[in-house]
Amino acid sequence: MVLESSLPLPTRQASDSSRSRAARWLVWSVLAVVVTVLAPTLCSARVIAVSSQALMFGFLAMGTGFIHKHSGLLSFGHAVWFGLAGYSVGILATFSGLPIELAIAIGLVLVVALAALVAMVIMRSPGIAFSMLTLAINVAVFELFNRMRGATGGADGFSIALPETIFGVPTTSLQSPQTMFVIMGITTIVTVGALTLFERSHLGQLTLAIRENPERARFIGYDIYWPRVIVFVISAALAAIGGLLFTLYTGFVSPEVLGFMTSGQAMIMAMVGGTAAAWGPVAGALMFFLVRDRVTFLGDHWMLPLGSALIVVMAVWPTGLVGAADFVSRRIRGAARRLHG
Amino acid sequence: MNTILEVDDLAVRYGGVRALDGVSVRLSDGEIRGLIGPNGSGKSTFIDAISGRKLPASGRIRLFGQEVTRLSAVDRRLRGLSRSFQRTSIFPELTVREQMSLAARRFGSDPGEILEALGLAAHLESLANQLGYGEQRRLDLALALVGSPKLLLLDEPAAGLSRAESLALADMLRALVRDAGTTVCLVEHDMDVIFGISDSVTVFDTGRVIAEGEPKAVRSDPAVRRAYLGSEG
Amino acid sequence: MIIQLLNGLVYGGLLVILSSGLVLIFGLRQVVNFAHGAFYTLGAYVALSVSAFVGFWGALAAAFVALSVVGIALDRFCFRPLQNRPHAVVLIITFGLFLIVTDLVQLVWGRESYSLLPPPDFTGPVDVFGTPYPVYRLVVLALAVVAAVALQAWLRLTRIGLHARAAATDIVATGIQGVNTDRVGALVVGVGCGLAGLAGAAAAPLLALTPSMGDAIIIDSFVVMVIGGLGSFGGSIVAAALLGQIQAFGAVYMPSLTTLLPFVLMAAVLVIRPTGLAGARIS
Repeated sequence: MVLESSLPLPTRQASDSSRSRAARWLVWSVLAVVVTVLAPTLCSARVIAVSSQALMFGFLAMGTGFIHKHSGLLSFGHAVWFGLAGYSVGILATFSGLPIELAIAIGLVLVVALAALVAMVIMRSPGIAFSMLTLAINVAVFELFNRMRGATGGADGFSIALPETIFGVPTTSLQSPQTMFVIMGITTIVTVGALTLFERSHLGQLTLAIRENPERARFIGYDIYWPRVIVFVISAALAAIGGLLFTLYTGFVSPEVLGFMTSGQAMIMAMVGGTAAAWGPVAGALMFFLVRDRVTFLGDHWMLPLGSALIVVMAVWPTGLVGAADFVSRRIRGAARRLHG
Repeated sequence: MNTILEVDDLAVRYGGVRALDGVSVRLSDGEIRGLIGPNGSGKSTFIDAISGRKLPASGRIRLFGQEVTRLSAVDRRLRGLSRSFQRTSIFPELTVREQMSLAARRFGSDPGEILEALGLAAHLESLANQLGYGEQRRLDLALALVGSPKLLLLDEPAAGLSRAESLALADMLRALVRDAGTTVCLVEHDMDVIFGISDSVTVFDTGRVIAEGEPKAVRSDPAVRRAYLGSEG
Repeated sequence: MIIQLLNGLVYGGLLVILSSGLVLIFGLRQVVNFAHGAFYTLGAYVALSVSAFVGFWGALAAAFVALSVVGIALDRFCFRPLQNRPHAVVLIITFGLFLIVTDLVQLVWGRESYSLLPPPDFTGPVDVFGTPYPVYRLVVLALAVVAAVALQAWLRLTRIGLHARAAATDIVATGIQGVNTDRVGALVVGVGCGLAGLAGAAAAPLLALTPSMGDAIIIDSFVVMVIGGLGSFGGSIVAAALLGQIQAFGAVYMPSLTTLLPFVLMAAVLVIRPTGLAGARIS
């Protein structure tokens, strides 16, 4: 009541613009769903297979992009959460005798709890240390699984015993690229929507404020430690969802997925896509996988062109595909306004 | 009048350097206190220590009758102590509305009046980094005013402002004290502002308090003239 | 016992050389050089290739010089033009550089592993309190001490060192004082990267040369730098000594956990002092 009387005009403006924003989201979501459903009939089987994998790693990239957006931090170690989700669900499903649905739930909870513990330690140190620490933790976890003989197969990894159906979906169809692509597409769209809503929420705004100016955030009365821990946990959970879906899809898990190179690639996907919008890292992941599929002639020497491309993007256009889309849409709107006026 | 801030024998170190040494200050409810002194005399350090930005090496701070020496900046803010910054401290990539709502939400208050009073209501949808310098200074002050703080520490609020803006600021502070009963403690280099609005003035030199009292008395204090006014003309 | 202690000192010595380079660059440019491990690897390979012509000691010098040149180029074409960009951008660029250098090493030298012999006078074992110990390892330890002392002498006693320390405090103000900060930057980053090359060359006779030989040790030197307090030479020397001992004793007494031990140490330090051993206490 008081608010309305003191801020009459802008409040109305805001509700207008949020309504048009909602309409825009709806249009894009419907479009994305239509593309997802039609793509398997329009694109080659290979493109679909590559794209569904890209979307799984897209979750890892989303996690990396999310933490960058909401805390300004660069993680070189999110593959840990991707890989640990695979391992914990795989181990539970294969050796515990629990129903798969329960194994999935417990596995994810374990990974998120571990991420919370790690976050509570590393979020205490200054931002610059963060990148080094995430990378260091990643290498340690990789070495741990790489050397761990026995049931998890060390460097060779191990095959996971999956039942015939998971959440009522036949495992065989879950492991077919066509079906998995649609599942991945829908979960990705829902997740992007959820992350965009988070950004508008109180906690989302608070974390952006903390990223912008942690000291000022304290001096308007907010503790900055727990929001940063929560951002880390959400980003780890995103990576874990990707790792879970990847593991169910391949029925196999090995230390390779939690190597620091996987983290580095996810960081590259997030940066090339741009972290300002939640869809950026997903677009980056799709681009990364589709391009990599075309340049197999490079053989082992993919790091040289990848590193060069990364440097060029960061030096010339650091806002990535999101920044490019924003630039183009501003140009179009500007041109439209000039035509009208 | 009630004493709302009691500082006893406060010492603050930066590395080996003693930035404050044996400082004791009392602030009464509803007064405007000016802090003056040459550069590096400890005024800003005093504000940092009171607000919880810098932990003291020794000494005691009591705020509204309770010990806060070891409390975090966040706790002190929630108890009604707020501050602005010498170098404008805002959220550059958030809009004015976003950051003011965020601050107001913490105290369940309405930012509208503050925005109106500081002439920021027209810029609600602007990102803070798109504002002009004077507007950014006012936004910094606006963030500090949210939640009707009982004690407001201002670190050179008039720095970089035009003459007219400084005078408007002084008027606003006087109105704030009159209407909301806020106690204000400000560091300021503009002597006209300081002597114009302060009820009393505390003079710092090399980390110590060398004089304290009514503006007129302080102005004619020989120690002050020697240490400060004399040296700067 | 004495063997582990010495092994720990030797490894700690290598960590000191590597992390000193990181600290030096960080102090001036506020950037952690993610390509540092790749420079270490490159230093080892450079030493391998030139040792046949100039001998071991010549190869050591060559690795230092070669990587210093790389460092000067890094400062000139990356750090300096991008000094007003967010640190994250520069960090990612050094990561890109890490990818490029690692791949270049593979292109030039292939993936098979090589070994480099220690200098002929220092091949055998030496008697240390009744236990035979490879003498070359003691050479590495001595080299680390010399490098650390020389670096501190350079920073504390020379004019350019004074300029470097001033620039690390406030590069703009130092520039206004008439110091050529571009030149200081090139020298500091050059020496920092040169130290990575030196560490790689010194380590080469201790282990097999592979394109990924730098990965493990750079992680440890990151941990050292964080535990030490990011910008502190003293802090990182203490941390390097600690971590060296932990790795050496861990390798014997709990081999399956050696990769995790640094993090136990790190977590313990960070919980007590979030800004590291030498870091300022934050309020």
